[in-house]
Amino acid sequence: MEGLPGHFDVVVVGTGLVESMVAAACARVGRRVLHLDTRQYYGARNATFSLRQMGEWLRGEEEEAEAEAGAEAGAEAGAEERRGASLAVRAAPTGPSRASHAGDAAAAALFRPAEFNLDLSPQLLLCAGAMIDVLRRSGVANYLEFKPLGAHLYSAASPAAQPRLAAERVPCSKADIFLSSSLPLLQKRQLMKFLQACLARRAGGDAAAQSWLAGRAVKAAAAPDAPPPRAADESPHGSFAEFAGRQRLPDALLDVALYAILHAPRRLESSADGPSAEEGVNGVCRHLESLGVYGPSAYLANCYGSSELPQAFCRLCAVWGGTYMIHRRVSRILLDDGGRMEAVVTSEGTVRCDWLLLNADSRVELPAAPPSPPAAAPSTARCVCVLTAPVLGAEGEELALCTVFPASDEPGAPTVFALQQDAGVAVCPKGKVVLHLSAEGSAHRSARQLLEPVLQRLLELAAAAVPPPPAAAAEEEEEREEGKGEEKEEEEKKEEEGGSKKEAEKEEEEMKEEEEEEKKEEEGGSKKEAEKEEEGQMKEGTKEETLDDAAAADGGGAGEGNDERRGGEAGGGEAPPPDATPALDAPPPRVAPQVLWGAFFDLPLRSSTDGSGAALPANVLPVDDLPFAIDSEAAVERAHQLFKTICPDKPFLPSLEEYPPEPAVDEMEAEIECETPRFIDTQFTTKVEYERWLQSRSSSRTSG
Amino acid sequence: MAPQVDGRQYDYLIKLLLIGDSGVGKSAVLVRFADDTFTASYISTIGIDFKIRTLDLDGKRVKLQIWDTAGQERFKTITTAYYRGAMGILLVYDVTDEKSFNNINTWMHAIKQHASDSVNKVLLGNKADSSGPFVQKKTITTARGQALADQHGIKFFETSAKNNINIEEAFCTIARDIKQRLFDTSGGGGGGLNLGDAGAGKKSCC
Repeated sequence: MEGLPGHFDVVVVGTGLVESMVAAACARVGRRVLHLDTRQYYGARNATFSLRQMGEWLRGEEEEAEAEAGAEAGAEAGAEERRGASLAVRAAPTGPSRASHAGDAAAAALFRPAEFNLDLSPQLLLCAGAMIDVLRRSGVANYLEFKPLGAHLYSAASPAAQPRLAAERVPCSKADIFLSSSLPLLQKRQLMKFLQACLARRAGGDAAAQSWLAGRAVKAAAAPDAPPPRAADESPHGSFAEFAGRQRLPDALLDVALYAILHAPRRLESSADGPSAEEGVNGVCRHLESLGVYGPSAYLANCYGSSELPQAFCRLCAVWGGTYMIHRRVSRILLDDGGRMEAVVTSEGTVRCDWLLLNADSRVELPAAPPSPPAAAPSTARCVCVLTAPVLGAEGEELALCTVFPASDEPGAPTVFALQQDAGVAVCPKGKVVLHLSAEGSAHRSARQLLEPVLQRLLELAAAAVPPPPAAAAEEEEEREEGKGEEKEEEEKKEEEGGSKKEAEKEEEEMKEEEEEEKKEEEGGSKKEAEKEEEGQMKEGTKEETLDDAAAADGGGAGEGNDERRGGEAGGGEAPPPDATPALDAPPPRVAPQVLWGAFFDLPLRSSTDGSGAALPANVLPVDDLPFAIDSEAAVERAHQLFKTICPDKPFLPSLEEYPPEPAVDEMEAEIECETPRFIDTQFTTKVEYERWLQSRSSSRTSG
Repeated sequence: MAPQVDGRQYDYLIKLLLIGDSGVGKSAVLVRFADDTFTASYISTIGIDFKIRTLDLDGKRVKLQIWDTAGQERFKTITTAYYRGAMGILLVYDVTDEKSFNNINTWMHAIKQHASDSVNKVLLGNKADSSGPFVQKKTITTARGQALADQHGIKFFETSAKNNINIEEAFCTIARDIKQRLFDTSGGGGGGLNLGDAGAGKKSCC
């Protein structure tokens, strides 16, 4: 392996969104950056997986590989042991806790592995938000493709309390409000007044309010980096809920603002709780400013999964001279006499550096660290599933977000964010959709317990919305009968489709079954679940072997697994050979969605220091896992803070105009011209780079 | 499918990638094609993002947007995002470097995994100079290069960025093939929304 330079300004460990933004920002203003990731893939907690990778990740297979890599690095670290103090850095587990599969490898075998892009942490971009602003001015947007969100919905009914979970559109633009069929006239008026009041509360707000009233796009009132302006007449203190109360906003609409627009993660305890009036008003305004910028809704999704975003920042970093090494880690931090970090030991050797950023895939072993993380560590509850048809949005609005409000009768109940993606954002094959459910995790309830009721309701609701085709049930029976007699070898496509449908039926039943079981044995709780998971893994494992041979998995393998799982109960006359089910040949506009593959998991929010960050050297910056957010605004803020710590005087991911490459390059060009035929101006964009190049040239001359 | 932006300065936009080991001359090939310049000094790529050149192919203005690896191939750490939306890929090896030639299969595998199925590919054996130190050092014969290309069913060129041999031909060939595949038959692509204006802002030359 080629050697690394002995010194970097900044070493960044982890390629999650925050870390990648900091790396890019540093490289952009001339810092030398070394960017590592302990994993084999980019993105850390913002990673995007194929179906197979997701399965492996859920089963924790990757952990083993990491352990090996860790051992390797440990050996190197031993060799590097030397004078002075040092801190050991261990690989932290990245996998889920309390995961349970509701899908299986046979479903995966129906598709090419690369056909799915499943996010660990799905995210949207607020059109007038800080992320879009950064992407545009830094040029990183050039590396990405986006689609506007088709439908922004909310569901006020909590699944536990109410039978229906009808989704309504979030009313925001003037047209939305007028066209809304669910809002009574009085509420429409109150909402109009309230939104105007929010806009008017900000600097330049009158113009914005006028613009919004006229149905035009609302211009952002403040420069992105400037602090939000404060209206003189209103007290800046107090909560948003109190502010809304003063504006006489009805409770039902306050909920819409709080959960669907401001994304409050859980049910407010009291009206003094939740976002401050300042934050709330700014959030509402930012939302209004986002409407009509790129599409009717306030959000954009990026194609190919949310991991594209950190990767795009990594590219910017590389373009500006950053060095990239993934599946490598920092195993030790070397300290100078003053207790500052002066170098790190990587698997490629010891590197001196001024700053070290560590994400939570690494854990520093601090002498004074508490022995174990607190029992009730916060987490994010997640569900990912592949469905045969959309559950949200109208025709053509398959890319949809639905905020399911927290149960009102349950203190601290979480808000659930349901994001549905389709082939339009290149995350799944045509005709399928990916549904992500995300919520703040709970110490008492697993992701499955939190999210499965919501999933079930969404499925039921979508199924109820499909007009039942005449005698559909009878037809299905017939098909099954026919299928038995028919030859297995049909046209490949038909077989796949047929198989997938059967698979879906099976999965859904299975999920329901498991749910029932769970209810019966609630007391058995987590142990039972762990057992079940293990069971699942074993079956998974046996199936994995047949994965290479799709046909085998499709036929015998799947059938066997099927029987085994059902435990004989629903076996009946149903063990189906995947046959030519003609139903999907000409798919009707909407069919009842079924789960092809799905998983529930909890993502623990980790810290590289387990909370004792104060004991780290001042130039080691931990990047702890961020709580789940449906938009990436918090990540931008965190990255900005970290960057300002490292480069207090430099602009954060500036545009070329704002922070052009050093002009000195032009003068140098003339000098070089006498030696080389012609100097290429794009090779160097900063003086630092030019000097580095000069160095490398002279060293290669002496060595050659 | 001519995009409406840029005031119709082109009929088609084609995204191409360069892929290959570190030091095979990917950037030199790109700079030769886009800027018609060459520098012999080797440095790891920094600063080159992508370059633009518009060609006239059969009466149509075809804008080529050609992306370089930004040095991320050095430790085999190309992002999967690099491959997104690519319509054509130029695989480059160094005719004086056996290892870079052997690694073409590895790169082919990565392309299969991450790029779209139908992506056009072309194999370039670079540093096939007509003068200078590399003439003596050539170790990969033309026949071996051709055999590898045949094995993958793609076209093959021995190029010299230094002496400007076959560079133009290689790019024009793949551009023409892509144009035929995507645009000459039916509608063609039409991807997502582009926030920035790739090609307008960055240091492009033509």
